[in-house]
Amino acid sequence: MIRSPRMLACLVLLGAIATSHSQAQSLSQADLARILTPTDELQGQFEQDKYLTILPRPLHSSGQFHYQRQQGLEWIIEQPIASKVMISEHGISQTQGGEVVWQSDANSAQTATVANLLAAIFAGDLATLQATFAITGIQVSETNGWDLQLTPKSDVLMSFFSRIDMTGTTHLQGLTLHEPKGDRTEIRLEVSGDASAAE
Amino acid sequence: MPAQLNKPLHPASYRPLLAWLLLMAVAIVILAWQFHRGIQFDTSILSLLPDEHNSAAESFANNRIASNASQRLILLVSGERASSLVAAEQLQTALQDSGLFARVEGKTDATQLSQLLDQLSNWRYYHLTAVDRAKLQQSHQVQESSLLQEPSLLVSAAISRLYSPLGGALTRHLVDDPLQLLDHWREQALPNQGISLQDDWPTRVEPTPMGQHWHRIVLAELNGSPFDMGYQRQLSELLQRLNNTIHGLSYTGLIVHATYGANQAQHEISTIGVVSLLGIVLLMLLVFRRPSYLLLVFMPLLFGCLLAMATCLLIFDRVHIITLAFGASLVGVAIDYSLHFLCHRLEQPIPTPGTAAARDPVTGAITLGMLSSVLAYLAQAAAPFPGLQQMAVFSAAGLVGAWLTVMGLLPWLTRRMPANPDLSWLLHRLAAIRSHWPRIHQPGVAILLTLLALLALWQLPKLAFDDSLVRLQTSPVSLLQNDQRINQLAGGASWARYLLLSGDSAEQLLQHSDALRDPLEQLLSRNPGLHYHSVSQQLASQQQQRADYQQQVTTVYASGGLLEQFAKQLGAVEISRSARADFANRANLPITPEHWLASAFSASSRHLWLGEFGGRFYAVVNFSGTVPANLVEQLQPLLQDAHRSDWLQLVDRPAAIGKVLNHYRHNMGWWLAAAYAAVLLLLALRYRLTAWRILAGPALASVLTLNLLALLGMQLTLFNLLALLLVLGIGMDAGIFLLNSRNSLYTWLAVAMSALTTLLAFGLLALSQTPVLMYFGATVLCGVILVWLLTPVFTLEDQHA
Repeated sequence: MIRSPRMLACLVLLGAIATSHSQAQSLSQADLARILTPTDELQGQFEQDKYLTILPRPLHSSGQFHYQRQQGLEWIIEQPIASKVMISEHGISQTQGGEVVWQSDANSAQTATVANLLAAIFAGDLATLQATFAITGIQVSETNGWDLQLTPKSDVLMSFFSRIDMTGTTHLQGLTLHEPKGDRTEIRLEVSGDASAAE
Repeated sequence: MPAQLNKPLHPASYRPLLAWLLLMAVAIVILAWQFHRGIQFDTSILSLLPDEHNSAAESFANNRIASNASQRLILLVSGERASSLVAAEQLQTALQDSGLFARVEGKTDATQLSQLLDQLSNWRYYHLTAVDRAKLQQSHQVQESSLLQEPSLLVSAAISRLYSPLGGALTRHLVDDPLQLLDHWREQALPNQGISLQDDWPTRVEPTPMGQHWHRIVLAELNGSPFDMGYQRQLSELLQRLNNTIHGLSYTGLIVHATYGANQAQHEISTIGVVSLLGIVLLMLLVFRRPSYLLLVFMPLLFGCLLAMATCLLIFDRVHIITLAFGASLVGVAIDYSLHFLCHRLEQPIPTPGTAAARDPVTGAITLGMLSSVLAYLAQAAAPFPGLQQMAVFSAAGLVGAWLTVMGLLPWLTRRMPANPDLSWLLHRLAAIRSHWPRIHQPGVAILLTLLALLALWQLPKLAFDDSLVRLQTSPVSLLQNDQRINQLAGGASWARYLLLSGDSAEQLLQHSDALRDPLEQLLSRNPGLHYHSVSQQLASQQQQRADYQQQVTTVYASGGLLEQFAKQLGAVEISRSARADFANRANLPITPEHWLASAFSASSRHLWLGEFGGRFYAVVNFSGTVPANLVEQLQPLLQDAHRSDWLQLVDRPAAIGKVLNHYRHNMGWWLAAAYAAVLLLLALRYRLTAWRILAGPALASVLTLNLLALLGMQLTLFNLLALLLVLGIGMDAGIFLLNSRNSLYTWLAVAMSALTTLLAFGLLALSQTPVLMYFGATVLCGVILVWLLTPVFTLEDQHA
């Protein structure tokens, strides 16, 4: 119910990309490199809505995030249940009230990929993203805003994510993970501080 | 040949010739038939050894495992992320297109993966992790004891994960696995050895100082025997070609070692073999100056091997390459027969007309030599040692064949003896040497030799023997290190030491397997980097499965249970109904071993389940990763537990093989002694009290050889003792002929040539890179030189007598 209008919107959007070059331009490698700049540290707030076909309402959560190149990504969920997810090259762990509720050393294909991907997105690691996804997108020249569509190159990954959308201006502002059976996760980010690696 | 009628032989002389012809014809037919069926050569040193005194169950396990493990080839493509990916895909295609493999496992297929996950979802409600079991138990107690509804950690953790950005796949199972219990179990079931799925490839990402190194893993299953030389050649050609085109390729598997062994043998045959052949040809030409003699000398050897091979193929279904090497070298004694026969012919160029070959004095000595050698070698056949039995049969049949050739064919071929080659110069020199040769009758010589013998005998028990398998490993260290590295990177498990479990029924076996879980997990916690592989990681017993289901009836799905808590907290009470319905639908559907074996999920662990044998069911547990050196020691408490002893045992193959080698080395010593005793008895029948003189040479040479090799720093093995059989054979022949001919110069010549040809043919094996052959060669080299020096000492008459 929720997804069809959005799908339609996507199609319309894609049509718009194909027909009108005046408002938005498709992106070159150089554009992508400008959009996804390497970052050493990034932090801010997030809001996440998970839309599941079997549930009438989305699962809403919010909290803080903190990315540091050395430590990885810290995802601190404050609402509705406080917990903390750590994503680093050593693996993924989730703690709740100081107790580890889940730990994975990145064995599960899907978890590992999402973890790598999230880390890569926050790090602005274009090489990793391009190794995994076909990236297309547009940039609206007036607002400097951009939209990227990441389509998995691998069938295995495709069975977990049919597409990932990224949107932003100077910083990443939104992220939508589409799953093949119609579920999706929308994440909105508000960056409060960053330290760009590119001087 | 019109010349055939020139000098008619006595009709009786045709009988050996006819017997020879008949036997060789039969041997050729057998060989042709066997070649037609396809001969398989065995190169594994293990197949030479007896069954380690195993229980039938152990042999069954070893065989099952060997047939599984020997068919595997593990390949790695290493490099940067992108380049290794391209290369790995190229490799997989090449392997698949080659038609040499039954199965190639590499890139994960999306449909296969989703199929696997679908199948695995049948495991739900029946498999819990130990941690979840405890948590459910705890929450149950909390529910019962207090009215206060404390939020369960299981519930809040499940909800937390749903809210995390990583919770994608979990949301699909809100109904059929709301508390993510199956997900917990699945994480644990697929043992993580640092191998993850990257770009759809099983990959190990290795951090190095120079950046990340990506190892893509391909597993291939051979569709031919790793010992089949034709298959070996095809495969190594393919691998060679791939090595040239695919950057960063490495691989390991039994076939790599088997091929290496075969190639090395081939290489050595073409280098050491050529050198020794050239040496022998040169020696023959130098002495006899006629190429025809060369043929005459080698003909008995050739036909002996022919008969030996046919006999072996008739009795054993697979001939071992080492049997061939040893056997051929023992048959090498047969070169004595032709040499003595020919030297005798030189001494008496024109055989007395009408004399039957059998009545010839030299043929008597040859027959006696053959009988004693066959007797000595057959002593080996009594050993329950497949390798020794094969060798015994091979050498005994070979000697008989050679003897028959000398008796049947040679008189006929030499009936028109070519002109006597001029040997006077050589004989002259030999006469000079002979006159100065020390003899046992001289008091100084006798004392010296007695002292030497006593010293050598006294040292004998102190000699250090090494019975470890490593000593006999054919493959070079670099290849073994390569193996180890690939196995470590690809998560390959070792089959050197494993646990063997059994049960009266499949169910009991699974219960036993469940029971090992806790102690094995404890073992892992003490040894970081160690992994174990057990059926219990993928399949629990029916008993456990039903208990797990039952536990969820009372904790998760009961009214007011965890499911309701979960649904309420999530704000999605509507899922409870369908979740309960799904749970009820799966009642009485535990996973059976048949389900598990048929599922794609079990592909990597199916071989651990050995199945039924003699009314019992068997499974194994093995180890991979960083296996500690003292694993066996650490497993002792587990093994010594009285509750487990009747269904659990450790199979420690290196130790078992070492024990076997040790056992047979000791026995071999006794068999050698028995062979000497038997031969001494046989010789005493004819030589009475002088019989000891024949055996004193080889006996003293043998003990001196062992001491000498030990002094030179060589670790002695069973195979050194085997070579002493050849020393006995050569020495005994030399003794018999020398004694018989009263040390005639022609016999001296024959003995010298026999010693030299043996040294050239088998002593040169001391240069071999194959340890077993090297031990053998070094012993022959030392032993035959000593025999050559010592035999005249004991057999020469007193000069003054």
